[in-house]
Amino acid sequence: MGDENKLSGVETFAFFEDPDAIDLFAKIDFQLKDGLHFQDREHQHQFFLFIKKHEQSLNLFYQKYYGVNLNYGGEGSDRYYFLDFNPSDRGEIDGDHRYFLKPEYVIIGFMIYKIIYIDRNFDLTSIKKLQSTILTDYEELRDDIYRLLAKLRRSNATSLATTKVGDIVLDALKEFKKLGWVIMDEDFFDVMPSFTRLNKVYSDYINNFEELVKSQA
Amino acid sequence: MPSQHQSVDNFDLLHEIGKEGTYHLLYPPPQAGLAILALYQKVKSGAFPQGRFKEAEIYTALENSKYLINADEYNRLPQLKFNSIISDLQVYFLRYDSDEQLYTLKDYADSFCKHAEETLLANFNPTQIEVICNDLRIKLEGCADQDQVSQWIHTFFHAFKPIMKSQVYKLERQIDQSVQEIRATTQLEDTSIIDILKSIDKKLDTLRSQNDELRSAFREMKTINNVLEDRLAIVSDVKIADDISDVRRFFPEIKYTLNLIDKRLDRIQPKLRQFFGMLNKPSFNVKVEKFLKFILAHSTLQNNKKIILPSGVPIFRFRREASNFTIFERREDLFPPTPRLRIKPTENIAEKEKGIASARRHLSMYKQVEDYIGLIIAEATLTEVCFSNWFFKIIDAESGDIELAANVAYALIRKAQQDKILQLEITREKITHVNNINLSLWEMKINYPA
Repeated sequence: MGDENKLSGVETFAFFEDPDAIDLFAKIDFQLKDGLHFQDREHQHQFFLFIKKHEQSLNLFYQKYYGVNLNYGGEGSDRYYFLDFNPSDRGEIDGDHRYFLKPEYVIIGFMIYKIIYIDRNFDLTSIKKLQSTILTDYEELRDDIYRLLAKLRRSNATSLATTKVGDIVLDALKEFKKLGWVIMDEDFFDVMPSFTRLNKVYSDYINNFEELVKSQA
Repeated sequence: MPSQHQSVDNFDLLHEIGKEGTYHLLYPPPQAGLAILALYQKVKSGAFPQGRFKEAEIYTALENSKYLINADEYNRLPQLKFNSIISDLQVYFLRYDSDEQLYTLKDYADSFCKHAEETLLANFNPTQIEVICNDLRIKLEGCADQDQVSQWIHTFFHAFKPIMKSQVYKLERQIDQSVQEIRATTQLEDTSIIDILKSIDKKLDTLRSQNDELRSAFREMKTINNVLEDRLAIVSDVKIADDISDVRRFFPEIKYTLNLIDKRLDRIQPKLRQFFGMLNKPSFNVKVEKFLKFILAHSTLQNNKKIILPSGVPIFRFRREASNFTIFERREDLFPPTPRLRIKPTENIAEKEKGIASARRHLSMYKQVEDYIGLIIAEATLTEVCFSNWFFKIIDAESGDIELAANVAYALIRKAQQDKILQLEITREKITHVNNINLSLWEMKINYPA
């Protein structure tokens, strides 16, 4: 795909020739650049199919004009596409316009991953229930959750602390929604396959975390 | 019919059941309840000729119930006590034929046991629903007048409603059960997890197809709904019209629940399948948990505000700030402005005069206030002035009207704030008007050293 000759060929941008591009491409383009992940779920179905069909030519397009890769993750029906803003700093999307995921959202992201995938709460779809699960079900993590997220020295469950942590959970979900990692509607939320991207990005650190622990001392 | 509705409307179930002993007679204690279930089963299997049995059978059933319940719930009763249990059961559950000295189960016992049986059996039978729906539709189409429609509702539809509901709730319960089973596997560590989860996945598949079957059986109800809508035209009785709308509300309720079931399956199953993939790498998940604990324990707060992840753990970019576009818009509703009707006020001479008079009165009052202030200050340059004297003097001059005197007081206080030479001391001494005890003020002492 890195072949320059291919890049210069008109067929490289085959996706422009697709009649569906008129309806779909502009929307996909904006949303990809805004960080949205596309997966084969009801609300993104037609966009997903378009990207899948033109995966190669779209990737060349983003490589050539924006210096970013159209990447994918997930297997089988859980495949998802996204623009990878991380691997190089050559990207033509300037630094000011790139947005880092806040540490609190990283923490909440891993909490959600643990609750849903590791502890298998596959049917958990209420935001209120998620907030209370984070606050009450994980005794061993609670002190640090209060310390970092509620920014309170004492870890007692006061209503102030509960509200603060609850608000951050909600903010994190809103951020994940922008990324297409979750869908939300009032109290309802559901995680999408692309939610596992968080793990993927941090996989080196997760696998070598013992080294990290040593380096803290 | 109307009198019947009336009595049902007035019936208070909780009140009735609260009457002494009724609850326990309807819902017998475990030992007696289990005995009834055992008898029901035997009757059903044909163990008793014509469903009739001797008292000794009841004794056996009561004794055997100890094998079914926890030791502490079972009352080790002498057989003599059985007599009182049986006489309680005779109210709703058992019928005694004293000539033959034989017992049979009453209708209530039969439905009581059948309900439990069907709930637990989860006998799913959408075909049956389809047949019933079809039958219901034919019967409804045969209704020529409103009384027949009412009869159809009370006789046939009310009998069908719980059957349909129980089928739908059975599906819901099974999903709940699957969700619990999935959760329970977190406690397992051996390799059997994958088999268990696969069997749950298969079960969810079955539930999905059952839901589809139910939905197709439900289509007949749509036709019923349309027929009912047509029949509304021939209904004049308000009560019957209400009954019809009750029936019609039932359909969307069921449809909604069926949709919810579909949606739940749509959410749970993909995650379950995703989870199969993760099972191949269990150690990764263990590491994720450790990593989460690590970042929670080692992250710090900068200025008690910003969270800093432990050193060596970066944050990543997942999106850019959303683009802002400047949109230059020419709003049709603003250019040109839509003409609005102008309302010309009509002049009311009398009101106008009143307004002018009031304004003049105010103006002259300001003038008077200024005059009084001038006089007071002039006096204060010579000697300390007690304001109460002036206050009451002004009131007397105004034939008891307090407005001018009050304005003078306010103006004086305002002036004291601006004029540094003017000294105004408000004391807590209350001075009362000599002729009118309702009029009083705190004394203000005024000096204006020249």
